[in-house]
Amino acid sequence: MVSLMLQYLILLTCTPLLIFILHIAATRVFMRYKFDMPNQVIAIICSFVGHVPMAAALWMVYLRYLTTSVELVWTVIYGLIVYNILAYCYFHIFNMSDTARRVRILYEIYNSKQLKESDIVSLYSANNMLDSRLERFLSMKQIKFSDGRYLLNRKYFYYVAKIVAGWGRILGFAPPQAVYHRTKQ
Amino acid sequence: MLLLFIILPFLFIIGYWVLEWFEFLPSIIPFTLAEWSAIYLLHFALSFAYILSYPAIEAVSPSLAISLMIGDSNPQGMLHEDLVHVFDDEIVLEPRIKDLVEAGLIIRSDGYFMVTSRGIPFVKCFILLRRLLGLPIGKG
Repeated sequence: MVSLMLQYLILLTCTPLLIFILHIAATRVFMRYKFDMPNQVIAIICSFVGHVPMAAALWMVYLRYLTTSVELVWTVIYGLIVYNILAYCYFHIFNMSDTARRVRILYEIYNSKQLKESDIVSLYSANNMLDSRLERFLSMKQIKFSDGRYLLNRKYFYYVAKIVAGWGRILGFAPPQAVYHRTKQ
Repeated sequence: MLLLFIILPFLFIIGYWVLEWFEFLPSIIPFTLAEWSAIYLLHFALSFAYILSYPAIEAVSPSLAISLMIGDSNPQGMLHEDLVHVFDDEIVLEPRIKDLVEAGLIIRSDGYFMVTSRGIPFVKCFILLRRLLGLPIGKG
């Protein structure tokens, strides 16, 4: 007999699966009703919505049997932390399928059986890469296009980029924009 | 990274728990199997998130670079040409192709690139993911 706590942990481990099922349903609903929303935003919405069924399931399986409020509070905090980290992992894997250059190049080669480097460039060029990212930033309203110039609109992704660049600096990597500028020079 | 963050801690916990169970070790840390599992699940989730985030730094994400460049250029902003000038095929594609070759996911033969037997399940997973979600293949 699996203990109640183990059942609680097994349910928490199913977080990516739960979000994936919600995501499958959500993408179809959004496409059917033609809601124009970036794929990343839909995945984030599914992660937030997933808190509700997961909390209900965890309550039924384990939380309602806890006897003291201290135990309940710490178990809920633990559950929230693990759920949100696993949701972040799901988001990352989905985002890779959507935006990773390596996945796109791999797909193009797989789809054509074999490709020359020049063929890869014609199917997926730096311009494609740049335009798809700018388009994504514009649809997520992170940037705006005004008088022929791209300007920062919301600072959320900019701060995320700053944090990642800072983390890279701690590990001894150069900041992303510096790498591109330096390589050009 | 998988070995360091995921496999070794798992083997350590299993090893410790087994040794303690058969009383080869005195019970220094009196945790039950469920409590060890809770510790490992938290450790696994944190480690996996770290491993997934790491390529964004190592492979120098162009999304991060674009965001930082536009953010740092405020309030004047950036022209499209300025960005095109920074990102070209040599910088954007060639290192990623090299990464794929080094990871053994593609090989180069007679000037042509082909997906290896190791790369096929990898790409099929992403195709299946997109298909189940009802989405076309990502733009990259």
